[in-house]
Amino acid sequence: MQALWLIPLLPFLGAFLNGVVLRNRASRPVVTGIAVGSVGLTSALALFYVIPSYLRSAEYAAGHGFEQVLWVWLPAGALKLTSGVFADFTVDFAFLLDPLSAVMIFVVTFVGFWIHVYSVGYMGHEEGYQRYFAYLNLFMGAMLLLVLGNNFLVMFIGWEGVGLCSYLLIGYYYKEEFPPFAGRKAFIVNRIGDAGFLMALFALAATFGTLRYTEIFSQVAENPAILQSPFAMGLTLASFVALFLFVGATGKSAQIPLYVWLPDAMAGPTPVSALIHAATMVTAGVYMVARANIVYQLAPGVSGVVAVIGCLTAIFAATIALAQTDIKKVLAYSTVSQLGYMFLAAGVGAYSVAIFHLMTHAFFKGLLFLGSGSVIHAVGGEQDMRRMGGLRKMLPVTYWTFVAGTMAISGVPILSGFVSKDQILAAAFESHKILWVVGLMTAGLTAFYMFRLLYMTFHGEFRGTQEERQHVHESPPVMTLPLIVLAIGAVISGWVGLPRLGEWDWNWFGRFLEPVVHTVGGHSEAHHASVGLELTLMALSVAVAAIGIFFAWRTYGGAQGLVAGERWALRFPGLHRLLVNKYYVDELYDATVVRGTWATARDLFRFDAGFIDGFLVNGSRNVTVAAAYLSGFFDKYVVDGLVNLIGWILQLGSRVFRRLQTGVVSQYAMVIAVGMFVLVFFYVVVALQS
Amino acid sequence: MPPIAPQEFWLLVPEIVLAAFGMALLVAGSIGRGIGGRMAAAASLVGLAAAAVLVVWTQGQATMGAPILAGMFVLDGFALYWKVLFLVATALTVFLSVRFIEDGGYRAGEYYSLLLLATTGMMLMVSGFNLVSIWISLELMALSSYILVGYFKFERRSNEASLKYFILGALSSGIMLYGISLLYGATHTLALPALAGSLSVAVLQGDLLSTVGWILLAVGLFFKVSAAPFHVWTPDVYVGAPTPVTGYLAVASKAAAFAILVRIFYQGLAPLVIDWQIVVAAVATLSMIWGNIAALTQRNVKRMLAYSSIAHAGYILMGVLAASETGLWALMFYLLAYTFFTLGAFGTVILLERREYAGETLDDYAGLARRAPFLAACMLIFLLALTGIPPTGGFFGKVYLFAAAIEAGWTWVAVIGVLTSAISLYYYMAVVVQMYFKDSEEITPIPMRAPGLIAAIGFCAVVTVILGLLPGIFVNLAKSSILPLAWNLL
Repeated sequence: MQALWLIPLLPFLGAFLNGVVLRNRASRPVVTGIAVGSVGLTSALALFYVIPSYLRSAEYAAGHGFEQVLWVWLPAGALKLTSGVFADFTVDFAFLLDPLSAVMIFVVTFVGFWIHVYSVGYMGHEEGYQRYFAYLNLFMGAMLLLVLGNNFLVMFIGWEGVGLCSYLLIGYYYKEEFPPFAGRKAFIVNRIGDAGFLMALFALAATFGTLRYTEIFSQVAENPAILQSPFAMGLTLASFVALFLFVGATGKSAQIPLYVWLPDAMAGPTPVSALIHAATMVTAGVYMVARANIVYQLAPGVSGVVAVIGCLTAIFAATIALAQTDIKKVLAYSTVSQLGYMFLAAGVGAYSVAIFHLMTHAFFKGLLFLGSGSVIHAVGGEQDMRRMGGLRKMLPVTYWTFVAGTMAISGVPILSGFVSKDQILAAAFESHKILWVVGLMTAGLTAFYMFRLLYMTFHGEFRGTQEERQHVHESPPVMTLPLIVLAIGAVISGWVGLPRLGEWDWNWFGRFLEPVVHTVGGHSEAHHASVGLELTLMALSVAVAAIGIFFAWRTYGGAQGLVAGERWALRFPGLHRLLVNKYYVDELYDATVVRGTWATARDLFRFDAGFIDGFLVNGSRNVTVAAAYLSGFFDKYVVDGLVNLIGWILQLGSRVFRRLQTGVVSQYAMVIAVGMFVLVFFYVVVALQS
Repeated sequence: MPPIAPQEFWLLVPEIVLAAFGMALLVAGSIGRGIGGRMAAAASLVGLAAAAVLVVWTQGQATMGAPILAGMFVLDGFALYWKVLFLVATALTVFLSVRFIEDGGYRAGEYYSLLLLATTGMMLMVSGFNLVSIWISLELMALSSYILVGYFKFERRSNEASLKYFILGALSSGIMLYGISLLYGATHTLALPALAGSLSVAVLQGDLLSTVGWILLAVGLFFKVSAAPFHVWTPDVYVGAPTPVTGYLAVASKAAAFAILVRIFYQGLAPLVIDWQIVVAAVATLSMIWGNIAALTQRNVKRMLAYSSIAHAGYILMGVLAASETGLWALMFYLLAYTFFTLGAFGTVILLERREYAGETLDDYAGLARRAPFLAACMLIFLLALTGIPPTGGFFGKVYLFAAAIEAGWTWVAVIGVLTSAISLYYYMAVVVQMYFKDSEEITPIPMRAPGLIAAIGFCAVVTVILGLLPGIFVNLAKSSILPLAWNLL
């Protein structure tokens, strides 16, 4: 347990070695050894030493986390001039291992390790192999920092760090035109969310004088009234913090309205999509909400907003996924949709269920992305599903693992996705029926678009050229092994948190997270729905999934190819166009926000160039052409503005001081003597007067 | 006077060892063809390391904060902090000097000998607990420095600087000594704790003798820290001196002078706090304005750094001005950070310097980012730190100093500090603009042929960033080293 600090350090070390020390100096095997080795070591350390020893520790038994302070980052008293809570404001660079962060480091290191292994095969022929792994290790370090920090500021470093790595890796193919653009888009959209996150941190620091989780939450638990006092903008403190934290979450976790960057982020290499844009980074927002769950519990209004936004994002993205033909785009919208589920769960107060879905999703969505990567790899970089088909026989391992992932996400019983999604729907049902209905519909859509993807890619006849067909090959073991491991995870990972049915309580996962998500003010998170109701809800969601799968089979199954699907598209041309174009949201943002910013910038420039430079400066210059030298002087120094005037005064002062520096020693001695006499005179006069 | 036990001299063994190394180098340098540059540098590094070990060891031997040798010296956490800092700064100066002295073609033995003797003076001074021992140590430091400034004896600029420094230094020493004698006349004591006791009585009586006495003493100290208007020597001396010596003066000498200034003001002159705060505020303000504005039009980087050093004296005086614990540790933290980024900046100048003083004007920095990317990146870090921009130690240093001044109620001084810092951005960034946005006619990479020097520059850059990322560790270090001390003021 004492080795906790090594967990983020090792990947950072790997990134440092590959990115700085050995840059362009190491052979591929060495690069691979450092990158995969560091992540392998850190995941072994986490899974076999740190987490088990925490589970055996007294802290865990008492329901506490284990905190490890590495150093005092910002010491107390540095800001003593500000009174009140800031007097003792101090931030440690410290880590916290509790059930929540244990789950997170399990997911991040385990899935992260296998994606690193996969990358060795996938990126094997790419230029910039070392750069890729340096960034990927840097990402791992930052992500672990994010989930292990014991205060919001360390979380924020990780938060920004993963954002940076995401930007770097989306723009990995920087010689092409689109990826750098997509990287910039991701970065800018995320910055909007980050501003919200920072606002929340300022509010917390100003109120509590600390950013440490345990201190804030224990203060709140003792006296919930602190958070319910009015703060700003007509909100209580809890609502303010919860709302602005959620603004940060919508950026990082791609929720309405800031989800637009995630589909474009698919411009990065596919393992990056699997690791960063499906399994780990994009779930950081969910982690943050779960971490700050006490605040959300005391802000029921904002929790409602979270649930509604999550629910809307879920169905909105799912409908877009119906009509996409790019295999990675479908998965990207599917990720947005699944993240919506997680926020739905968090919004209705089922925080442990949100984290549970986060974990199962990491397995099956990581698997699906890696599977799609294996397909793309096999067909020579093609991503359009209309040019695939019939790959089942040629890529058996990819196919069967992909089937496992598809069944898991679609909600086929006893697979992981079923177990976690069902609990989200049950929680939504208890909260508000509409949320449940929309969630259920989304489940049906999910089953449809995922099986559509499966049929279009693997079934029917191959629709590419004969030449392409000859090149199709199964991926090497270094890529298929991670697929198998993650497929096993996609099947069984749900079993640790089976829903509670009356007397049978197998929900080990929920009990494990209980100390972190315990409720303030009495009402318990555990659902006390009757066994009958629980089973009915379960049966309904299975039925909906079955309907979705059935329609997908009717439309895309068998040997019919794309005919039936195109017929549907022709029957509803308007709707189809709307979905293919993703509801024109990118166009809308472009027309309003992006163009608005550009237009403002241009107008400011025009104002500058036209009005200030053209009218004021040039105009007045024309007037003074005939005037005397003195007025020209006046014009130059007054009209050009105060800034130049100040600069000029400073320059003048500088010249005066320069004059004083004559180089003549006797004059220097004179300056010293005058200074001395002024001081003495001043004091003698003062002393004589008193 | 209490009798002195002979074993008490053991407590000065670090200074004795360092002085012995210095004198041995002097002898070795004058036998036959003298001692080689690298050899002498290695020997001085050994001496510095030995002194560092012994400093820590003797600290364990002495009773913390108890005066030794009949009250002449004191060993406390405060002295330990500075001594280690001086030793590190001197070691870095040695790394900065090796190639420079070789290229200059001067004998090396005397150079390193003087460097060690000046450091010995600083270490004794910061342990000083009596105005006499302080003044004598100060003179040891000063006399060594005068010769070091003129060490390039065939160069006019170096001669001129040395002579100017000597004349003005003698003047200021005279003023200071005169002040000390007046204080003795008024209080009949020169020991800092006793001085404070007598002055508190004298203050009530409105004693003129002691008033003039402490002002003259303060003037001498202001001269040493190069605070305006007693800074006039600084630009000429900094430009004329061999660049490693300039770095040494700007860092170690200034830090030593500040250390003893704080010791005298906070302990000996503690009863006069209301009076000296006015003087310090005026001098600090004038230094910040004068230094920063005069630096604006400099085209010579060494001269610009000289004015920057005057401006920094103004910032650091804010820590004195605060007359509080925050002010004290803020000052200590700032000088720690300042040591690294200033020596780093001078190191970069040294690396670019060739014969005939090339590499000193701003234009010589054009296109440096292409010709020597590592060097340019390091210089960028140093300039950011000098301006006070994160993530460097300069940022937190300034934050703490300004915070200390505001906390003590001297908000207007801090406001001037912030405004003049903004002005300083202009001349520091002028170098960055040259390095990164201007192209030079020469595009050949600059040969990186001094591994020790490059390592020292890189080390300074790393420490500067670490101080900006983890200021807490070093602040706590500074805080703990002033804790066991009975400051009359705090």
